[in-house]
Amino acid sequence: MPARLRLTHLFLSCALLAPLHAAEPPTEWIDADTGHRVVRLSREPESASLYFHQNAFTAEGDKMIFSAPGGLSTLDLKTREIKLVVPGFKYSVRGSGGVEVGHKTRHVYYEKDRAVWATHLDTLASRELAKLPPDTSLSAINADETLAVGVLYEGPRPTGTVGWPAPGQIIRGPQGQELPFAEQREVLLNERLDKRIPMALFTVDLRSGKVNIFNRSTDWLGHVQFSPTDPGLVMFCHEGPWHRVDRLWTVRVDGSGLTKLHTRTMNMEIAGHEWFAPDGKTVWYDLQTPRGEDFWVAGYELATGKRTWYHLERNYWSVHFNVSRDGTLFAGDGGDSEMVAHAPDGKWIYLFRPERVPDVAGIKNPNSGNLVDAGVFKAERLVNLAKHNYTLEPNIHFTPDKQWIVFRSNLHGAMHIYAVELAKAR
Amino acid sequence: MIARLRRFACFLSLAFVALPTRAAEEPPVEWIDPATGHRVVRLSREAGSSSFYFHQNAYSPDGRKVVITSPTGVYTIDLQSRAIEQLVEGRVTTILVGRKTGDLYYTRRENEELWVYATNTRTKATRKIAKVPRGNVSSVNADETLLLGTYSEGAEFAGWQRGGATPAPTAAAAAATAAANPINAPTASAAPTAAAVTTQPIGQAQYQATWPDGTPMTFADAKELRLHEQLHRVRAGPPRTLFTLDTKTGETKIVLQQREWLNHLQFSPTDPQQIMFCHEGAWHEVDRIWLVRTDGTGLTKVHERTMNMEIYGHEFYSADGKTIWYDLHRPRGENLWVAGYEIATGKRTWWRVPNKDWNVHYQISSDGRLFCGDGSDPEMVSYAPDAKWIYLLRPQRVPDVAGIKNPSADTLIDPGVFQPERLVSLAKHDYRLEPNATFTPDDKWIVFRSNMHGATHVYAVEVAKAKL
Repeated sequence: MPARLRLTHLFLSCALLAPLHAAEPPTEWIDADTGHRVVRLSREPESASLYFHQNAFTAEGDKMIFSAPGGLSTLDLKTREIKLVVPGFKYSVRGSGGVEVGHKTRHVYYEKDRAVWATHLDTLASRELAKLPPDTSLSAINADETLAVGVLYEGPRPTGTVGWPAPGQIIRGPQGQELPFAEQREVLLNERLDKRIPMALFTVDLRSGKVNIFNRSTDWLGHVQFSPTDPGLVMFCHEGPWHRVDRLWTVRVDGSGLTKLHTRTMNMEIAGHEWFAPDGKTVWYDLQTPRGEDFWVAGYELATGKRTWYHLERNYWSVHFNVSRDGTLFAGDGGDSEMVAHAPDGKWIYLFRPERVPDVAGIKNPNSGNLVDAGVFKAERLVNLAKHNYTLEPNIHFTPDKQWIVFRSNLHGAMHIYAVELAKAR
Repeated sequence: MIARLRRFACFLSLAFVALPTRAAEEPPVEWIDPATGHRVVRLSREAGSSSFYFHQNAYSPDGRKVVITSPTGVYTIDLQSRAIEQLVEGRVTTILVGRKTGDLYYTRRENEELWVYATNTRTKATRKIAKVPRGNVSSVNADETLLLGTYSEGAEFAGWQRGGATPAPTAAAAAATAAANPINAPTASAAPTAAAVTTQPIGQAQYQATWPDGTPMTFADAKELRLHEQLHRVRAGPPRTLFTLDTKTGETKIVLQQREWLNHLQFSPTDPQQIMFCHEGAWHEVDRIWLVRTDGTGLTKVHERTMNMEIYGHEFYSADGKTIWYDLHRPRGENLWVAGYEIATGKRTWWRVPNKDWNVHYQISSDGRLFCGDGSDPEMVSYAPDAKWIYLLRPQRVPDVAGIKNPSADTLIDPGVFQPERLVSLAKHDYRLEPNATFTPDDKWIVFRSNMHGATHVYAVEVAKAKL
């Protein structure tokens, strides 16, 4: 989150640059640096693919939902045919919730008029399913499409530009010095956290409309996700400066089983941008030990507590990571030199092949089953994003057939959706 | 140990090869390294001279002299005048220079007996300290009242590096014994006689093994397997004993007994009762670093592994004796740190080492502000392609962002990074000899041994850049 939030405020200004690049971006090319084929999937400028952990694909793997200027649309992954399915829906590239394709049925779920709606991707039949509690928004839909989840305030919401400096506001450090912008944001996030505003998670039953409030807390709750396979399992985070909070948590919708997924052992250790593997068995996250120095993609197996950490070099750090449906490949959307890794050469779409660090000479530590299983990511660059402005974060998704990685980019000016082929072009 | 043991078997042959071919060319006495701008001086004159292993104190308490070994004995070198004086004649096994008296402690085998001697680095007066009744001793405590050693209830198993398949020839057995007690290995082996070398056909003590399917293991894997086998041999045998030997009375006292391969014995440089030792073996299967008091209390595991293939070792005390520092890999060869453990508080400080700049040994300056390292070659555990340098390492803490502290910050590991500066190019150095860099007591020079000009010599590099 530090990198993402830090940069998103610049996003609007970036969009203004678009007219300078009014020329129609190419529909297909082979990246000269990587030898991989890249295709443009969207036709209209300011089309956006979904945030990295939002499910964008049908269970059958034939269609992908995305946001076009006219509303939510589907892309047929075979024919690349585009169809508008929810006219008028406005998707925010700053958001991480509010839209999701069902894991079972061919519906897209979204928020409209303070309610959860579903539209069938083929028939376009649409209906309102349930009202949301007042002053809340939709975060995610559960595995069997019976519940929606979100956060609510038990009392007044915080007002103003939470976590962002108000116009003209300058945040100073302990010695009175003006802080760098990113640190100003950390101070404001910290101030919001310190208010300890009562919050809770809620579910709405999509059949009965019944609201269930659980996990009441004065922590700053956010980033709520449902397991893609376990209808009763929710993951959420404690927002705030990442190095201060214990960010990653799971809880069951009845409020039981509250579990902290990662325990910090090092000062300035941060963990975040968590997501469920498609099989729902593992939670993966960006782990830095410490922040900006030592980079991992860390996995926590929910049933066993088993941990697997893949180490990666600074240039390979990505603001988001993702994993293929079969769990064998990872991808990242890179990062620019101002982001938390300060990578001098990190503006790429990456494919990562995980490699376990073997037990030397076949000798196992007697306790090895209880230890973090370590590995490394072998990186392959897929798309050069030198011309991409990271105020927009690319947010990679594997296509269900594991042949392509989809991302959004402004590398040709206006935001479009692209896909890069994992196999090298012949 | 990882890299050091791997190399040790080859070391004798290296010195032998180096001497005849290069001895004719006298290495330079002083130069400024063109790649780094730092002044390097050769301190030794006799080919085959060697500085001590990285954690053995080699400096006189007044900071004026460093002790080295050579094929003809033990010498002091005045760090100001560079004058060399002989301290001990002939081959002995050095332990360390006492921090109080300035006596060099060493052992000498006399017939079947092992005796500890001390020779003063200033007066050269020699005292016969004590007979070691069993086993060996390899450290002296801060007030020089105790020696520290180990013995086994059973016979040592010779040739474990080869899996013990064949009876070892004499020299190989000596090498095996020395390797089993690596503290003594560098000095005992640094100056082999030509005769010793010729009776040591290289390859005998090399690590070789095959996988179950018959394919040969790499040297590194074979070494780990042999360490593993030897460890399990030790564990299956009678207990090993850690003991102190009173330098005045010759009385021995048992500190502890364990069915573990006890090794790397070190007394605190400041606390006469504080002992550090290790559990030897394949580094990833043992809990290596331990503290214990001389009376057997306070047994403490210094590091708890949380990751498979996490390894740690080459531990040493800071000059003030307050902190244990060690080489930490999480996992092995992939993610490198110098980790510190403050004995009194348990507080941990970790400095990250760039993968490209890994060092087989580290040391710390007297004032605790700087670290140094002796580099590594591309075959060693970190596979760094360009780390054959003597390094100066400046620690830099990772600050709390925006001054916001985690509520548990004080109980967490305090992380930072090393900013490395290269001091001496060791491109021509053969890492089968490990340089073992140490700071001089005034922290102005770093002393190391090297074969970069052929025969092994002792060199020093100035920490400050040379003024041109």
